Amino acid sequence: MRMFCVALLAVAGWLAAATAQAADPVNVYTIWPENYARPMFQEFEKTTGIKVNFIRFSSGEALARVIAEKNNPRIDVLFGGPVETFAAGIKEGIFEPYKSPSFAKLPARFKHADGQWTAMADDPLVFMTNGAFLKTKGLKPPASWDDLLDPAYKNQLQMADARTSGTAVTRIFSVLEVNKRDEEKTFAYLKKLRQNVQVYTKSGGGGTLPVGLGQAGGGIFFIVDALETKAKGYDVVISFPKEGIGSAAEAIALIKGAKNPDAGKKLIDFATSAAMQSKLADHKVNFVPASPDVKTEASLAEVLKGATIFPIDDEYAGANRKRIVDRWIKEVLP
Amino acid sequence: MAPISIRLDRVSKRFDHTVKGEVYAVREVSLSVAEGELLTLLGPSGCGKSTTLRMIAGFEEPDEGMISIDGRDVTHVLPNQRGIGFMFQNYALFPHLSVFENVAYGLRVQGKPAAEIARAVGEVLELVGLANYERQQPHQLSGGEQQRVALARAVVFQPKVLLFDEPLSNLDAKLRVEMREEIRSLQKRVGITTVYVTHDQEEAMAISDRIAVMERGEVVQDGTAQDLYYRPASEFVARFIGRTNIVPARVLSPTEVEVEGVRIAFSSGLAAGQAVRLVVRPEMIDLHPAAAGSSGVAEITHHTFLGEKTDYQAKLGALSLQATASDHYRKPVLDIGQPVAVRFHAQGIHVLK
Amino acid sequence: MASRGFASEGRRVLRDPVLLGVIVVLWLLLALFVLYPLTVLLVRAFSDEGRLTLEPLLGSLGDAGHRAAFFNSLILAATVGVLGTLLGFLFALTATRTGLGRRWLTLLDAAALLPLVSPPFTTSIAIIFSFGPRGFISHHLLGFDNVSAYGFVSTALAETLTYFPFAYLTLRPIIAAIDPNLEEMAFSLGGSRWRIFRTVTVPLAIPGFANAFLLLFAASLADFATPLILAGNSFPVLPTQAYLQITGMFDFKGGAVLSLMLLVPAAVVYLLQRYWVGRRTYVTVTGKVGQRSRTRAIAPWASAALVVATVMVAVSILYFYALLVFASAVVAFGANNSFTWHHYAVIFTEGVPAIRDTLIIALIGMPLGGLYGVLVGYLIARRRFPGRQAMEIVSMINYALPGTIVGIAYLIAFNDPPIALTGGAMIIVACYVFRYSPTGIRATVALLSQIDRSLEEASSSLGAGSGETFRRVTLPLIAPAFFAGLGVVFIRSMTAISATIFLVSLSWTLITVRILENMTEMALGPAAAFSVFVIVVVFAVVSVLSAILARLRTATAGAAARSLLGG
Repeated sequence: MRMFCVALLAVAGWLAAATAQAADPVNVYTIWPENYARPMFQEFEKTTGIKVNFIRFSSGEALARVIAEKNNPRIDVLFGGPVETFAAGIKEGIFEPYKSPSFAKLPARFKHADGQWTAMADDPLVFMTNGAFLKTKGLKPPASWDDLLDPAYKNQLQMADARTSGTAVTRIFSVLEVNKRDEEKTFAYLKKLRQNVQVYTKSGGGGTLPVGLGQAGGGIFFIVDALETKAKGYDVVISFPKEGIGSAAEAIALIKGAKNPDAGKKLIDFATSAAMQSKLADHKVNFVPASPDVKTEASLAEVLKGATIFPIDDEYAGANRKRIVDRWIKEVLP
Repeated sequence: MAPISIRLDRVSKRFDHTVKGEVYAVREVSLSVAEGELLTLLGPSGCGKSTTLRMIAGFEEPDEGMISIDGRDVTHVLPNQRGIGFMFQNYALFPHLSVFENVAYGLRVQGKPAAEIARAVGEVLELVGLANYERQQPHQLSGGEQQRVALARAVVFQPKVLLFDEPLSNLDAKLRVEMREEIRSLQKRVGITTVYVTHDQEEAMAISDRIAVMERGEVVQDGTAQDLYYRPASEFVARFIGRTNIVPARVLSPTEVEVEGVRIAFSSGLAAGQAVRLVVRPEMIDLHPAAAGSSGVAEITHHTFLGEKTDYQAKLGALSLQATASDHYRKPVLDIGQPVAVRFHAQGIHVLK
Repeated sequence: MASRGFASEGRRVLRDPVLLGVIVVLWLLLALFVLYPLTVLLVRAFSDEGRLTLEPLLGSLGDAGHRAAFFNSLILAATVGVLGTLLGFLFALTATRTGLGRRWLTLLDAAALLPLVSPPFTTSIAIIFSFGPRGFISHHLLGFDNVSAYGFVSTALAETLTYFPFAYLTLRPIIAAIDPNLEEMAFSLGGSRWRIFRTVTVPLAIPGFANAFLLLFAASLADFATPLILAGNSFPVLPTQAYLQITGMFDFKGGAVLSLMLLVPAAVVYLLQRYWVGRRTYVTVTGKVGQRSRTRAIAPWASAALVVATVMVAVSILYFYALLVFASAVVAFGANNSFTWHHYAVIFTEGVPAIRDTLIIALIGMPLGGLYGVLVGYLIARRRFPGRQAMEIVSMINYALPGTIVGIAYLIAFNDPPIALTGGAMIIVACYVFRYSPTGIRATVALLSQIDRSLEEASSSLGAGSGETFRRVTLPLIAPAFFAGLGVVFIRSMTAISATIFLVSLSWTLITVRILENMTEMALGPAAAFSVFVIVVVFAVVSVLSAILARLRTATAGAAARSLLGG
């Protein structure tokens, strides 16, 4: 037993020593997947010499952690993630308002009025279907929301679960916008769509691989995830509904009580500027840059050409999010 | 009389019983064992003898009373600080240790130097006749050999007291007799104070200096084997030790009693007319062929010829008597149905109080 | 009466400084790492601006969806408990009674242990790839076109395959320790083989069955990873709901309440098991060692049937893992099946910090968890002291709670001074030790119920104190349980995710978190490569453990000990 105690103490001491950090890096939770975020942070390190310590979480997990750590924050910056996640964070009072030099230039939908968050990029939703699936069923790529109600898709769609995924919330608000915010019509449509859904996935991109593999016929995803699937060599087709589809701003925010606020602000300055957003295309990260100074990369622009894309009104979404999601859980999910 | 080594003073132990509530396993037991003496706790299963032994060892703690060893109050002392050797019914050899390591265990715990351990273990294994078994594992040994290892292990560190909990019950009959002789002679040689628990009265009589008979948690009689046999304190003791006849009798005068019409000259010192019960051992009854019908004549109902002796059952009036004769090399075995005269040997008869 | 027993037990403990010290230290640790975080979480869940309220609980109980999830969880856990115990029993019988050669046994063990040593998503993913609408088996082999791989059946199947090794590990040493002489004896009394099996072997294994069922029931009850992927939307279960409540809805209160609903059945099963097993103790390992005979108690045809059934299960498991290895070595599973080492190159460059951190944490947690497991198991099974039952229950709490709740509770409790541990490795180690040692505790209790108390009393009478007796006699005899506990803590440290996903930090991350990340990033190749790496490492460590165990030459649990971990 004495051995046990000694071992425990030794371990504790060793760990305390091991966790001591080098001076002044910036600590980040990224909601962007690591393969998108890592190159951006490397660019930042190259430019500023400030090291970025980061770890990736899905938006729900990241938010839950930041809330839990409120009294003793472990990070300086929350990086990426749809804006509705940040709207939820504001309610918990976890952000420190900060306006970067690029702030003024950004359109209103890409920033919080008080600077609680600022957008780095825009991320439209798309329809993504499996090419082989379309061929065997003799279908054209879906070009309307109603196309997805075709019985040929029965049990063949995968999309995100509104309880965990910002993608799903954006999708539901897209349907609301398409239906002129008529909730009855919206939910009637969503319930019909439910018939064709194989499974609602935890994360926004969860269904892309099954669609790529043909486990599922298709789904509704963010364009970054859809293009990534395509780039991996899976036989998928991207299409847009003629009625239009929503787009979510991808945001960044400074954490209240951050231990390294200056480094954090530098990262926000970098991320909201052309300096970073111009590098997105180089690293095959298919977000649409938020900064008006950066042109959308040609092949991405090609995909988006002709598509009707509208922003989700974050004020309307923020005010109604909980009610709409609760209703979705009660009426659509079961 | 040698000085007292172990003393129990009104020791009690209670257990919770799901139906009966709190029950006494041991109730106000007082005992003393002299130095070098071997005391046996004898009784049927469940009488509290093992619990008493385990309290002496310290595995159980008495709820009341006091236990001392060599004058030291050990009532609340942990077993490892009592200096006792304990022999378990199942031997409790450490299955992961060799014979040598099993025996050396107590010495290792004491931190004795290796050379001394090797010498002591060698000696004691020699003593129990297992000189070449040091490297063996317990599972390679026979029951008797395991028993000896356990014995060697219990005595090697020269405990003040040796306790045995039915150590022979797992052995076959022949080995049991052999081992008890061995235990007895070893105990005498080492001169160690010993408490021995058994339910086997023959074993108890063979091995003990003194026997304490227990019944339902209490010591009902405490004495030598002969005390218990010839002067049992109760019908329970009389029946538990050896075979016996409990015979109702009437006192005719202070010097004569009568059993089913048979008069026996027996000085009981009791007043005439009193009804008593007598303890009459089978060998105290002689049976002789007699004419049927006369008073005091019994009839043989059963006989078993066992070579050195013959056991009879005879019906005397309302009584069924057990008798033993060991002289059939010179007279014939009595037949069933044969009328016999019954003679009681007055010297052996004991009046139950 | 109780008070008198309490007082006398207390007095006895006070006189034994080693015992007292161990009990005090264990209670301090349990208070710090089990009770404190749970209390903090409950206060957070049920306090509303400083006052306590039951409203969240009542609201949750009134919710039809939550009630459905509650019953679904029970149905799933019971199914997995029964199926897994049967499967474990099948494997254990085959391993101990059919006289298979050592080499075959090693293979069998390997197949049985694969699910145990894999990251939690692997079986689920393999099932989807095999039985989904375009599944290798359902579509390509059997030609079905529109099969759903989501729902109760596939979840139960995946959990059974993932958790049945618990039953195997629990039952195998117990069946091995049942003296075949007993079966022989019944056989010689003229019983038919089936009758003997029914009336001797099975009843003797009952404590093992109960333990196995409990472990499986609790594991299924707390598992969130499998239902998250496989249960789909028509079969919600509590842990997933609790997880979604917290991570998705940012609703700590709701999540805590759901987890409380989970605690009730866990506690009920636990008490049932205690009552059931408590009345039946079978001491078959004593200091007196009988000769072992090769059993004839199982008919040759039954032997053959057992082997065939076991091999079939083993082959299906191996098939799942072959799929995993395949996915780790092709460019893009299902789309571009050409061979590549690329994914392994990725995990050994970018993945190195995760690998290093995971190994360090697992290696620290392993001995601590093993020791903690046998100490608590020993105290529970063998010692009388005030608060013994409370210790037993408290030691099971973190195991019974869904990992999500434990993770969140740790995160909240240890983020702020006075006990700020988040961000370090210590908190992850503590989480693993207190969450995954109950396997070691149960194994210790089960093994001790087969080892006669007189061995320890003998040691005590020979002058050894409680600490020395534990070290010299008890520990060597329960070495199989110690190594089982140690092995499980290591395995779980390498593979668990539900609790620790909240505890990884910028400085300490874990392979499993990387695997989940890779899966959400659709990087199936690296995910599979990481999984293969984890499995290889765990197998290597387990083999070393088995070798150590074999060298101990413990005669008590003999073969059982050596083969416990698959060697």
